[in-house]
Amino acid sequence: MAVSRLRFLSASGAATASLVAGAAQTPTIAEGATALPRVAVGKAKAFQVGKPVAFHYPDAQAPALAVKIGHKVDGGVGPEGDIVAYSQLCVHRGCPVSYNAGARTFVCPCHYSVYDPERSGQLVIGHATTNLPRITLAYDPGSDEIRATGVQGLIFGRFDNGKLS
Amino acid sequence: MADTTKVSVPIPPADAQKFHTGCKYCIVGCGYNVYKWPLGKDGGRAANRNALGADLTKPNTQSWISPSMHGVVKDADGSSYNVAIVPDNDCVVNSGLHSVRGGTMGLSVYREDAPTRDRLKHPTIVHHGSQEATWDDAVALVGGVTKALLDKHGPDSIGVKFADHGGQGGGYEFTWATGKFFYASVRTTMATVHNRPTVFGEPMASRDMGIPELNIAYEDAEIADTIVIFGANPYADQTNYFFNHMIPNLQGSTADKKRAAYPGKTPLAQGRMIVVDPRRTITVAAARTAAGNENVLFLQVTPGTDVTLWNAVARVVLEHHWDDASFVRDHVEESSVGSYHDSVGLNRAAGSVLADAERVTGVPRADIVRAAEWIAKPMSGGHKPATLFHYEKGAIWSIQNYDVIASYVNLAVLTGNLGKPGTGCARLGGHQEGYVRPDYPGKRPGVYVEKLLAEGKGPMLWWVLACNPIQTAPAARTVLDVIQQRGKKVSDALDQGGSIDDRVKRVVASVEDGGLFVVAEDIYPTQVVQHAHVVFPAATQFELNMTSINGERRMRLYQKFMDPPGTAKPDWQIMALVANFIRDAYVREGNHEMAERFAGYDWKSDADVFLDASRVSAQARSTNPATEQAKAPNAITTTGPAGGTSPVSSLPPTSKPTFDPEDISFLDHEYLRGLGNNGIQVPVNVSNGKRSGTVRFFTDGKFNRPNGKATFIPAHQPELPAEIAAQKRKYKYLINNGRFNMMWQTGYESWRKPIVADRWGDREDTFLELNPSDAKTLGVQSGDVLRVHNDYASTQAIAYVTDAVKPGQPFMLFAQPKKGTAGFLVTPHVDPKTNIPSYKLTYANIERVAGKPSSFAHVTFKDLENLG
Repeated sequence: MAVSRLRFLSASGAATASLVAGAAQTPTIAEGATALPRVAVGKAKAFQVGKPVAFHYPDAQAPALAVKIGHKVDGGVGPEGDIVAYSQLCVHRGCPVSYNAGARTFVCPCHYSVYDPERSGQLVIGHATTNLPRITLAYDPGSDEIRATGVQGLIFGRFDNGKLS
Repeated sequence: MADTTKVSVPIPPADAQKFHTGCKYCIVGCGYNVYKWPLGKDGGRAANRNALGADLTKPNTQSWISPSMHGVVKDADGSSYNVAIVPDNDCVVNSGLHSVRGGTMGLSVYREDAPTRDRLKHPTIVHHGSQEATWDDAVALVGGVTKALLDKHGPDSIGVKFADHGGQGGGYEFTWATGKFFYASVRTTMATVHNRPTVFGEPMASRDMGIPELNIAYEDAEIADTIVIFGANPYADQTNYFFNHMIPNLQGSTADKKRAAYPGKTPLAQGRMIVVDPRRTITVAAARTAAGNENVLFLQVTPGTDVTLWNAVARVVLEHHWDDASFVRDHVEESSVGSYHDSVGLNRAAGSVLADAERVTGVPRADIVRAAEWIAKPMSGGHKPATLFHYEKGAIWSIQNYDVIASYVNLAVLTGNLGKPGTGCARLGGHQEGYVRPDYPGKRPGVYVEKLLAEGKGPMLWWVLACNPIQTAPAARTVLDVIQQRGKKVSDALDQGGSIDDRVKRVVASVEDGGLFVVAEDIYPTQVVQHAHVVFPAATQFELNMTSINGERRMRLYQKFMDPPGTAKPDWQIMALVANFIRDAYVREGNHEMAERFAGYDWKSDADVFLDASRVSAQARSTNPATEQAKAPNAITTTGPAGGTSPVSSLPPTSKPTFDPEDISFLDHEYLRGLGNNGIQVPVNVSNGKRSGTVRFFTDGKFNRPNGKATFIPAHQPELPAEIAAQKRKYKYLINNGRFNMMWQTGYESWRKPIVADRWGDREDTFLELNPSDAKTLGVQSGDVLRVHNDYASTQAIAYVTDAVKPGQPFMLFAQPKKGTAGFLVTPHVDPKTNIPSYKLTYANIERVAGKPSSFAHVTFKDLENLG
């Protein structure tokens, strides 16, 4: 079962949030997904802009990164609506992406695919054949807890996000 | 917004059918395995229960099937299957890597419930709009008009614009069947190929120098000390040549191969890369990230000044005696040396040449000197660096194709970087190759058919096969105008209906009255198809057995694994139907001479067509006067059309002075099927009945000229052509253009992939990269709608603000459909020596016309060339 592990990663460069987010869109819930667990990611107040938080979802073999973008984005949660999360596995060859706080992109160190966490993990440029799978999040204002609730898109290496056997 | 969020893919069962194919798109030709299995018969997670042979109870990192690799197809008998098109880990080209293009081929298969549903399925004939027609009627109409025009107005009343390449929309079977029809049967000179107003090649200067342009092996990029990338962007356009062969060298992980190739030489710890481009491409960013800034030299050259740059580099090489004097003495035409030295300014002080070059090219002289050092300065131990020269459309489509190519290839000759491991001078390529045709009946530089058509002259019938001149012709807007205006007369004639014979007569009368009869053969309803009078729906890769070579001449058989939609047929079969119709008509007339000209199309299969072409290749070898050994008795046999065997003459020695670099002698489908995704590098030689490929050219020091010597071709900096200069006087911005990673060629199929439509606004818009200072001047932000216009056309683009382009030099996506066609803005200028257009250089003004369209709300505009 999934283990929630809160860990701050060092991020290169400070966030320079200035881009205005595009028109709000309701995140689509993909059909056909195996029911996935709800997993605690951390308290919203513990997040710092541009410092990604590593966790695993939906199971221990699925590294993911949650990041506080610095301004409200589509599908973002938390008091500022700016916390989003994605699978850390590049959907090209499965290398772990890292967050570029300056550009607010995820970049793969193996073949340099680039994804935009402000645009549903859209491939900016690169070799991936889908967007970076998004981990949907829910926020409970009472407890300030952020929980992972599902995945949009198929995590690299899997045939079904929730089933490995 | 397109659905790009699939959350599962089916698992191919252990008994899934397995096929080999290559990527349909770029020249690299990555190998793919195809699995096909009935719907509902999925495999299991245990290794023995799936076709991947992988334990899928764990995340599968080696042979994962992404949702974009999966599709559902329906065979002609109505049964439905899953297909998965997965990069082949064992293919030496890509080692399991895929690009965004090839990795999404699952989305490209024809299916009724996907954006590919508008594949052309049945022939159509215009009768108050396009109407579905029988094959018999469409063939009779086109065959009837072709014969009537041929009889009455001669071969040049029939024009053709057709692909001449491999991969999707091509292949040896395609080029042979179409070439046989138009060159050997019709015998027209009114022919041009898919992207240019000539049938001759793009690097003709290189060929004239004795250096066919595909002369390297991809392994050379692992062995080279220096790789030069001129006017190309391999991260985006030759992705897995870049990542599987160049980047490992730049990262220093191919030292063993270097030592094996050059015992005793101490290789550099890491390879170096020089990139020459007006735009700071993502290739520059990726190479710098992989190799460190100190190993990447980026020369941001002013467009159109390349000859000056390369001549200056050569001048520096000569100044320091870094040239390969013994190579030049032994292998280069002596009479060409002096004039070459003169052309690079050997009679002038190097400092003065460099000062001029810096002023003209915008490249700092220190960088020009460093480029010369990296290319030719002996390394520690006194060994010359192995330098691999590459180039593509930035060089080919500059302002004077012949001179630009010559100036660059000269440098490879001067420094002796040919025929040895880690060296070569090769185009990187766009599509795959696969050229085998009878000789073109015309002369170099070919006929600029598009220009004749615009002038109301030229052919009366224009047959457009597997290409789209409305997007890829110089001054492309005029092509659309011609098709619409001259085509209308024929449409009016066809609207009158009647028997096929009546309609043939009416069409002939209308084209004699200035009309143009347009026949299209394609797979999607392109703009040309929409304006054509008769449309033949073609089958495409996956739907027939076909062969292609990649950029290192690696020949593979791409197997058929699904049926074409409707009654679509392979192009060779369409050519055969029309040829046989015409032959039969001549037979009925008792005109045996003409009947004979249209004979020889009784192929029964894809393999038959290939064999026909292969025999011609072999014949060409054996009749080459310089290849007496071709008649040596070590012949092999290939399986003939009737299942029997036919002897094929043996092959000449590799040292023959002239050869066809795409020669397919001694090959057949059956043999290639056995070679799978690694295939064999053509030309193939036979020794003791055993076939072997050609890894790289010139290993014996013989070049492809009659006396075996290469030659310099002196090149001088051309002036800006008058048509372009006229635009420059009136318009502010130099419009560069080119390709983008995701988009393939004219975008005919790319846009039908949800991931592409999602990324680029779900509509047929192109983008234009604009420097931030220009954006400020114009009051433009990323996403804004721009009007881009000059004397030739007005078109539309979406702004993408980035400092990857210099101020005043925006970059526009080339050849994209409808709303934003850079080709509309390009002048009609061609290099008079080659008929190659100056697509890369035009001038236009830009205005903002609207803010970001709502369809772009979800589209990222983050930097395309910045890896952070």
